[in-house]
Amino acid sequence: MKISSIVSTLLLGVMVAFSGCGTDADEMVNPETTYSYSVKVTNLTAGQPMSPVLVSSASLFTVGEEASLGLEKLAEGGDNSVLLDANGVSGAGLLVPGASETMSLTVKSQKLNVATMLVKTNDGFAGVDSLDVSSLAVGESQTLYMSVYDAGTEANSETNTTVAAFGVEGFSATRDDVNVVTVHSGIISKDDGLSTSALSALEKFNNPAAMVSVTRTK
Amino acid sequence: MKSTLTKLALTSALIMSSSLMALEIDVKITNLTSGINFTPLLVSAHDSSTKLFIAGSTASTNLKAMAEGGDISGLVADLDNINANTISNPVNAEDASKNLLAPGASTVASLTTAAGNDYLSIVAMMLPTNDGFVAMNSVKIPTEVGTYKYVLNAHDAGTEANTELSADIPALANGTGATGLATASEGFVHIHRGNVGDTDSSAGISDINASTQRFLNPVASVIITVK
Repeated sequence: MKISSIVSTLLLGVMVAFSGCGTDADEMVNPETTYSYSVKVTNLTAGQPMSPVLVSSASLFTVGEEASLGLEKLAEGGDNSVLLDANGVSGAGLLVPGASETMSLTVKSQKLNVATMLVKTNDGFAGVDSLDVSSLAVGESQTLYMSVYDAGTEANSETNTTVAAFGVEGFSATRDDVNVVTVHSGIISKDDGLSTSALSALEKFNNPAAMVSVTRTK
Repeated sequence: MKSTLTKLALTSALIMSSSLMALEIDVKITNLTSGINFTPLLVSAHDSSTKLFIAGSTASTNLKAMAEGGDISGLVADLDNINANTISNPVNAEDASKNLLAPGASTVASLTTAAGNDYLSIVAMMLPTNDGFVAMNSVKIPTEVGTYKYVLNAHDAGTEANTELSADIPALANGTGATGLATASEGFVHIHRGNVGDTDSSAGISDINASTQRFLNPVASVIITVK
């Protein structure tokens, strides 16, 4: 059984080397097979601390669709507790600019999802949705870069009463933005002309904002 | 008419042999931005020697019309002349009341490509910008059955100064404007530097809203499904 699932995994890898999903080969994978991964996340921004990183086999967001309550809490306040379940693992604490953290998880899925708030934004988060790691054999790695998304749940006012980094309650149940997840448009900051912003040029960012290296360990 | 498209001399045996297959593909385009609309999209499969523009070079008249005013008719005519397989404005085909692809929204263009039309191009103006457009520029269409994902960047046609004034941008209500940000166009197609914006829609350096109408790359994702 184990050999056949490895063989089918290799076949799947060949079939979808450039793509996101397999079809027929998926059915050949034993649904009870578990996979272990170590996931290293590096904060590539100049001045944006990142909230405890969530790595999960469950999908966390879809661009163009409404954010879940769990994603809203992560993106507005850095709180990953709603999204964190048996499918996932959380980083130990804030991931400061330039720092890396490695998390390990064992799951039945060959798709991984990552999300972490950029703390000095209203509702910005770096993430990846449904990363296909089915082509990885044990010991192999794959690296990608994460863009910053906007949860679309809070207006990007950049004020010290709405941005979680200033010690206020980041999460607010009110949704006063476009209410779909999109790529973040960046912050303006008071240094770039938004006089009501509590942010400075140090907190500006561009894509990519973080690097993710996935290594399959089992 | 052909001269308005840039022809490249690519005649390798490899390309010629791969040109013999016709394909059925779905092209799903998603607007990834939080506050920029795409005007009518042009999705076209064409031969390997065709490009709608070359980054670093001057835009054609018809590319300029698309980037500054959202008018794709000139580019469509160019592509029709070389027997490309083109879908115009798939958003409107799905919903006759719409012409814009809104932030976060998706549309699907289904194409049957004639033999030899194995390269794909996609363009649409980005609103509000002066001459910004989203682009996939002549990418080889995969031939194996499967699903393939790409992300697209914002380009600047280089044909109009980025004044960010309502008088110069179709999407913005006419206002009094102000001095604006730039008085000369760049003269060549390049990666867009982004909107600046400010907090006043009819005065100051820009009529674009800095909080809601800036953007970062990537601005669109494309999923090609080869059937």
